[in-house]
Amino acid sequence: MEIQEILKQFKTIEPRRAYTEHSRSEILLVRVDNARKKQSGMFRVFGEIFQSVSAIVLTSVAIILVFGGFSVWRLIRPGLLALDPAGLRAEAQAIDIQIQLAGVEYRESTIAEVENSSGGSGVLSIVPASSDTDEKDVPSSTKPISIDEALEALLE
Amino acid sequence: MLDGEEKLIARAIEGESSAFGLLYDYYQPKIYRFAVLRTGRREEAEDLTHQVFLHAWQRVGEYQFLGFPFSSWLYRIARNAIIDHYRTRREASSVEDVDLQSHTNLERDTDMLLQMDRVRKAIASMRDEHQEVIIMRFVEELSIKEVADALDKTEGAVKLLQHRAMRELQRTLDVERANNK
Repeated sequence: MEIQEILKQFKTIEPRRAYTEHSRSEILLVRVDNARKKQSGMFRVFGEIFQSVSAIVLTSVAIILVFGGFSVWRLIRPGLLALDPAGLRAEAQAIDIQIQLAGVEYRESTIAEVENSSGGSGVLSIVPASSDTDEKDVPSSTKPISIDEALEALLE
Repeated sequence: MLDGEEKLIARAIEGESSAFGLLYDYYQPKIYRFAVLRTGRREEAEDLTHQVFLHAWQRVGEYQFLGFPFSSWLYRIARNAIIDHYRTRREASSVEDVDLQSHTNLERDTDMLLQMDRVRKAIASMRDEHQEVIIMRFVEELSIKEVADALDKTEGAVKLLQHRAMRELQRTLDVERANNK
């Protein structure tokens, strides 16, 4: 007889009926207990799911913050590099000089106009010529005048 | 494959014990035969078969994600159970313990029983993989794919293994026949 035919005859091997019945009932009973435990523990399952989800969300937020922070730093960094203290100081000084120069030009032009209006005496006409005025009130070419004073003098 | 097996598995996963009971009724004799031919002892085969189905019933929810036939999944569990069994016992299996006459319905066919006994002893002397592929392919008549999934091999590898196993079995039987003459 062919080997394969003999091998097929092994299908006639069967377990004992008493063993099968006992094993079957034992196995299925174990599962029934587990199923009951599973049903009673539904809230615990939801709790575990909630814990897992919240952990994932928090981790995601942390990752976004970390990597997002790096990208924001990269965006800010060029601006921060531009804030050079020496450069800023030089720029500030240059602005002051321009203001001073503008002020000087304005003062010079104002003085010239006043002198013209006063006949080239060099003494500002806005100042009274009376001799009884205090020495400190007497204007002189060396005494600085304010812009307001100069404007008043021009109006007069 | 059992009729409506997918539905039964789905119901078993839902916790319906009667559905798993039907799966047990269909597959238990197959797994038992696999165990008894691998171990050569009835008591060990019964214990192992019980363990296999207990494990399967407790973890049937994991089956749906594995993507291979239910039969292959059961045979995988059985293989692992047998490996663990021999790892802990470290005792050579004796093929003398199985009384085929008490296991089969072939009481009157003495000649067939003798031939089966010779083949069973020859199988027991082979490598584990060869034993497994012979039992699955030629005793239980599983498909190549089912065997491949159970043994975690490709279908080509199973075909090659099957060819080598049958050649080895034939050679072993020829030697045994020659020695008896």
